[in-house]
Amino acid sequence: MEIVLAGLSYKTAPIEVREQLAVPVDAVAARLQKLLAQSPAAEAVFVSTCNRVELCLCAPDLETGTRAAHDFLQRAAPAHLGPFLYTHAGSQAVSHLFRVTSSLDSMVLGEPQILGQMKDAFAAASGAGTTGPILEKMYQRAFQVAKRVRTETGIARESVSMASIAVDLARAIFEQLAGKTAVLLGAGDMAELAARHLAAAGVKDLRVANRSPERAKRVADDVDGTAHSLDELPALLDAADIVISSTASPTFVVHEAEVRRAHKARKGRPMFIVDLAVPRDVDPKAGEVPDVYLYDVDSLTAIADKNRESRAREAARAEEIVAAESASFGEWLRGLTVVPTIVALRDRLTAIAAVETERALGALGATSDAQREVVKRLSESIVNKILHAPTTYLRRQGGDGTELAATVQRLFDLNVGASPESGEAAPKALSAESKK
Amino acid sequence: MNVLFLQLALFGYLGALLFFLADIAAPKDVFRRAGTRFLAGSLAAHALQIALTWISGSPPPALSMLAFLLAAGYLVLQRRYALRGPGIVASSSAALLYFASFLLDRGAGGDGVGGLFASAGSSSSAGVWRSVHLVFVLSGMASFFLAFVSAVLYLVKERALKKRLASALSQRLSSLETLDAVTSACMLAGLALLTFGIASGMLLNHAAHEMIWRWSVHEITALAPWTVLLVLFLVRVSAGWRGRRTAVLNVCGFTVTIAFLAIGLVGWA
Repeated sequence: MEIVLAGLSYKTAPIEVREQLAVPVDAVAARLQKLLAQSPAAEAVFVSTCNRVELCLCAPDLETGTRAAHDFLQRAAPAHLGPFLYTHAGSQAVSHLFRVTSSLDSMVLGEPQILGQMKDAFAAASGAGTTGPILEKMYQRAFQVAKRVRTETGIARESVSMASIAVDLARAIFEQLAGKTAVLLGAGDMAELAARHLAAAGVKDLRVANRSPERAKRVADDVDGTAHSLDELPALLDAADIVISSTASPTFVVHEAEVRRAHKARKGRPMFIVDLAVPRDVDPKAGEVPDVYLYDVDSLTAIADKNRESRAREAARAEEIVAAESASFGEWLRGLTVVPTIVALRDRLTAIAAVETERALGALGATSDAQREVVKRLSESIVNKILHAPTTYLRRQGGDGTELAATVQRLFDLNVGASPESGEAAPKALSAESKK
Repeated sequence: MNVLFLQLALFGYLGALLFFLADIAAPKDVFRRAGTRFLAGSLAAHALQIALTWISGSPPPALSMLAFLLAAGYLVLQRRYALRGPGIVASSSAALLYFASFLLDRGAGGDGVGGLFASAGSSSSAGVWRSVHLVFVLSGMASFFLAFVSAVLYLVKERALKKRLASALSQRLSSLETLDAVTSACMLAGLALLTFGIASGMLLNHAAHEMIWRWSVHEITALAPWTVLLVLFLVRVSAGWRGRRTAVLNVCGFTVTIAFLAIGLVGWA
């Protein structure tokens, strides 16, 4: 079984391409189930954030896995994704996932949001029933690695996020944020974070507008702001010095004409607009309006890179942790090739022991329950002791134990359902072993 | 003694320039503070040099006065606003003007610290009024120049923000809001000072020639920036213009005025 991870990120694809691939949250489960039904892939997890879109799956081999992943991604986008896609397999895929989850591949190095987004993606796949023992183990390990990186290095010492960078950038336009009016469009996690950063920077007049007024109120109440409906957008833009937008709308929420009208009403007072949404919320043409400074996720790259330089040393330590954890997980993964043989061997010996025990008990005649129990335990103990040394040896061999596993299968006439080379039986065997 | 103060002031301006440059290259409060202190120190030496020149009966050099007023104006702004960037232009311009004043005076056969306008330094009542008039006009010019510097920096920063360029220089300049406020403040101060300067010039004209306006090169030189500043002020107040449009108008206005100033200097010399 091969792990394949394919996708595109802010490093390989501009926002115009990434936003085409954004899949609504409620559609993810159905798409993953359809993927598993139509392809030989056994497990799959799909991640979609403003900076990356990735599909991780377990397939019988690299070729079918890559094809399934690429088809899945391409189906979501009208543009040809070929030049933008990257594909990792095996240990590279593991290492990539660990780096992404630990925020080492983020636009803002060390930002904490990615861990939550990865957990959400895994929970969605798990809820859809498209995860299995391999991806479950891999993602759980990835979350542990991310936690280790955060606690053992200084990569997350300062609270840095796209929202905090946006607030810092606002200071290039406004000397003091205290007397300014900020409007947040959307009331998700990013808006909540932006609201907190703005409030901490001294913004007193915070207005939160959202399609759902309840959520807007919840975010606004947190920072002593006011909740609004998106229908009030024109009036909100007239008053806004800072606009931070992060809705899940598939189309533009703020159009050029609205910004142009607001600019006129504001008599040239500067307006700073940050569009953190993918797909974008603000028409890029709005950035051409005089005294309006529009930044989208990709525009923040250069500032994020500055942040990256200052954290390079901590990142190097974090990379060491990721490398060590990837190697450790790789060993576990390689060990999976011998698991079906171990399970089959155990089953064979346990079955022989059970038959011989029953035969011996029959020959003994009348026996008490306690006596029967002693004999059964004796046979189990003999099986365990016999199995201990060969099992340990096989596990230690890991990926190099394929030939040995084949020899064991021939010696004991084992039928594991598939050849040990393919590793196809590994997930089922792993599930069976973990249930025992 | 006079020359010693001149040298001290010149070195002070250059020292301030170096610290302001360091503050842009590697922003640190210690550099900005050192730059401000050097500028304040050189301003004190410059003031003493001007006072000694005046006491000795020589007229105060116009370019030296302009350099002094420019540096003083910057220090006033520095106290009020968080400035990053204009200090480089203010200190370098002050040093250049001061040095040019020295060279021009030496070229005219003086000791390098004398004045260009003999009448300004005379002890007569008209001479004192003339000096006051000159200080107002030069202060107005210095304010106008600072408004121009601030407007240019605004346009540099605005372009970088608009194009989303992450150049170190643009990131380290003062915020757009501060630069706009400084432009406005200097514009307003320049207008007021030039108004006083022109009014005092009219009084002097009346006393000397029994007419308030003669359309001389001096008068036009003062009237040109005053007109430009008045237009800018009216546009800002009536139309509520600010930001980029004000900055562009300021830069254009200053450029036009510089042409008149060049003519005026030739006429004066």
